[in-house]
Amino acid sequence: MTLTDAPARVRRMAPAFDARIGGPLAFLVALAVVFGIAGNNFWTFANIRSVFFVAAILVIATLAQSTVVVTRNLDLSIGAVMAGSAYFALLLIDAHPGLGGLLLPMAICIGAVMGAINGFIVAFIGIPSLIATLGTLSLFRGLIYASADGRQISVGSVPDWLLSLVAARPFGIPVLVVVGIVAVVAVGVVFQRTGFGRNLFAVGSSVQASEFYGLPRRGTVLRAFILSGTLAGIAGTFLAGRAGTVTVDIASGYELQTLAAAVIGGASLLGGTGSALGAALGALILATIDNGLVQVGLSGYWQGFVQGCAIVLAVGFDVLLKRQFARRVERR
Amino acid sequence: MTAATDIRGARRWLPGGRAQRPYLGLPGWNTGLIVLIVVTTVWASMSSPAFLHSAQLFAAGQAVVVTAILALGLAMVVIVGEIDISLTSNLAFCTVLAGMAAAGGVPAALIIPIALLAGVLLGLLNGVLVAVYGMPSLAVTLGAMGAYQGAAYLVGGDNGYTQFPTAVQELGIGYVGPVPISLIAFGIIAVLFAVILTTTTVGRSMYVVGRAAEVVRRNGSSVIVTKLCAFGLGGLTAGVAALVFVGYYGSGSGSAASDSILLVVTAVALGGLDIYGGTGRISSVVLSLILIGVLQDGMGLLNVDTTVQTIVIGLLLIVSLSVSRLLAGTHGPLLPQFLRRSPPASTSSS
Repeated sequence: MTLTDAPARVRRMAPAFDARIGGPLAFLVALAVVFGIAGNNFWTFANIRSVFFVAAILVIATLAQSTVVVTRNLDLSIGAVMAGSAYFALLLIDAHPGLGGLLLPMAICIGAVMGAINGFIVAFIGIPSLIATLGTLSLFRGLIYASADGRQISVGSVPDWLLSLVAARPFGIPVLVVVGIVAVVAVGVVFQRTGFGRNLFAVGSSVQASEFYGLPRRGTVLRAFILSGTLAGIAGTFLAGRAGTVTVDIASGYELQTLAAAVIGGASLLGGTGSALGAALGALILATIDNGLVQVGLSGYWQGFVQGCAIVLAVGFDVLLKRQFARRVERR
Repeated sequence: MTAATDIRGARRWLPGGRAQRPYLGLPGWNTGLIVLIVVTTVWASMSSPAFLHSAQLFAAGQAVVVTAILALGLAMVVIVGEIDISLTSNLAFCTVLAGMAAAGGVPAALIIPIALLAGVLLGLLNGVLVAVYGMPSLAVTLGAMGAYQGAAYLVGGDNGYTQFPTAVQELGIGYVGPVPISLIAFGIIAVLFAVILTTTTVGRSMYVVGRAAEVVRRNGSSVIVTKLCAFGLGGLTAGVAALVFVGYYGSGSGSAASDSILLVVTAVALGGLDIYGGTGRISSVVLSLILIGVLQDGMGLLNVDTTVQTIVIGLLLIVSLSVSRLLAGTHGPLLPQFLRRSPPASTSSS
C-alpha cells in the first residue's frame, strides 16, 4: 500500500484503514461504558489512572512487538528481552554501584543487542521468526536463570531514583503514563514520518515487491528487531522499577500479551499493517478488561476467556477490512 | 516467487528418486537427528549408569508423552501451513470436562469418547475460523488459547477436579507388560498419522494445501475440508493427551499443561518441518521428540539444572536450523557461493 504513488487513490482507500484505529477505539469506549454501568467505581479518576498506570508498560512492550509485527515477523522472546535487559543492567550496577544513573541507557543497549541477535537470525540466516525467537526465548531466559545461579530472587537493589520516578505523580499523572505517551508518539513518528518506517510497512506488505523496489529487506528487518529490543529494554527497566525487585521470572507471559494487544489494536500478523496508536489502544483494552472485570465483580477466571474472544473478534474485523479493501482494488 | 524458484520448485516436484520428494522435508534431517540421538544416548549412558534401563527409559518417556502426543497433532496442522497454539488450552478444557463428567457419575466408557469429542470439536472450531473465514491461524489460536483455558477455569475453578475412575486413569498410569499404555497410545497415533499422510488422499492433499493452497483452490479441490481435517486431528491429540494427563497427574484443571505449548512447537520445529507448511514427516517429529526426551532425561539424571536444559534446547533449535539453512543455501547470504548446494534464490520470502 505504501508503494502506491497515486495520492488520490490512496486517499480514497484511506477510510478502510482508518477503521484500524476506529475499531479498537470503539471497542475500548464500549468496554468503558459497559464497565461504567455495571460497576460503580470504574469511572473514578483514581481507577482510570490505575488502568493507565497498569497499561503503560504493556503499551511500551506492545510498541516493541508491533515494530516487528509490521514487518511480518513476530517476537516471542520479548518478555525474555525485557527481563534480560533489566536483569543484566541491574547486575552491572550491583557490581559497579557508581553506574546507578546509567541504568536506562545500559538496559537499552542490552535490549538492542538481544534484538540484534534475533534480527540477525531471522533476516540473515533466514529462520522463520516464530521459531527463531522461540529458540532465543529459551536462550535468554536460560541465561538469566543461569546467572541468577538458582537464587529465585536476586538484584534487589533497584536504584532509588527509579523507584521514586515510577511512584511519582506530578499533577496527579504518573510518570510512567507520560513515558508511555512519549513512546507512542515517538514510535508513531518513526512509523509514519521516516523512510525507515515506510520501509517497515513496505517489507511487511510484500517482501518481493519491496525487494524489486530495491529496499534493503534484510537490513530493515534487522533494524526492526533492534528497535524492538530497544523498546523492550525501556519497558523492562520500568517494569523492574514498578515491581521493586527483579525475579528471574519477571516479564514472562509478555510475549503472548503483547501479541494479543497488537492484534486487538488492529495489527495484522500477516504484516504490513499496524500503528503506534493502535498498539496503545490494544494494550489499554487488555488493561481495561482486567480492571473492569474486577470492578464488575466477575471472577478473574473470565479474564482469559474475554481476552481470547476479544482477539478472535479483532481478527475477524481485520479479515472483513481486508476483504473490503480487496473489493475496492478489484473494482478499479 | 521468481522464475528461478519456480523452475527449481517444479523440478523438485518431478516424480522419481528421493531428492525429488520435497514434501519429506529437509534432506538428511532424519539422519542428523539419529546421529544426535546416538551421541546423546552414548553420552548419557556413559555419564550415568542408571540411564540405560528399560524401566528408567519408560518412566522418562511417560514424563514427556503429553507433549509428544500434542506435537504429533501440531505437526498435522503445520503441514497444511497453519498453526494451533491453543492445543494445550484445548487439553486443559478436556481434562476439566472429563473431571466434570466423572463428578457427575458418567461411566468411564462414556468419559473417554466425551473427552476425545470435545478435543476434536475445539480443534474444528479453530479450523472453521481459519479455513472458512480466512483468519490467520496464529492470531485465532492465540485467542483460542486464552478462551479455552478461561473456559476451563470457569467450569473447574482454581482446583479443577481430582477424582477420576480408574479405567480412565489407566491410559496415563497403566502398563501393558513393561510398556506404559500412554507410550503405546503415542505410537498408535504416530503410525496412524504417518499412514494418513502417506497413503490417503486427504494426507497427500495436506502437503499440497500447505505448499500452495491457492493452486488447490483454483483447481477446484477443497482447501477447507483438508484444513478442517488437520485441525480436527490436532484437536483429537489434545483429547487423547488430556486423558493421559488426567491419568498421569490425577487432576484436571485450567492450568493443565499450560506452559508446555512452547516445547510442543519446539519439538515440531526441531523435526525439520517447514513452519510455512507443505513439508515434513511424522518420523522426523518422533525422532525430534526422542532427542528432546533423551536430552532432558540424561541431563536430569546428571542433576543438570533445568535452566541449563532450557539453554541447551534453545541453542539446539537455533543451531540445527541455522546449519541446515546455511547448507541449503536458499536463504543464507553468509556462506560463500561455492559452498552452497544450489544457486541462491534472490527473492525467496523470509
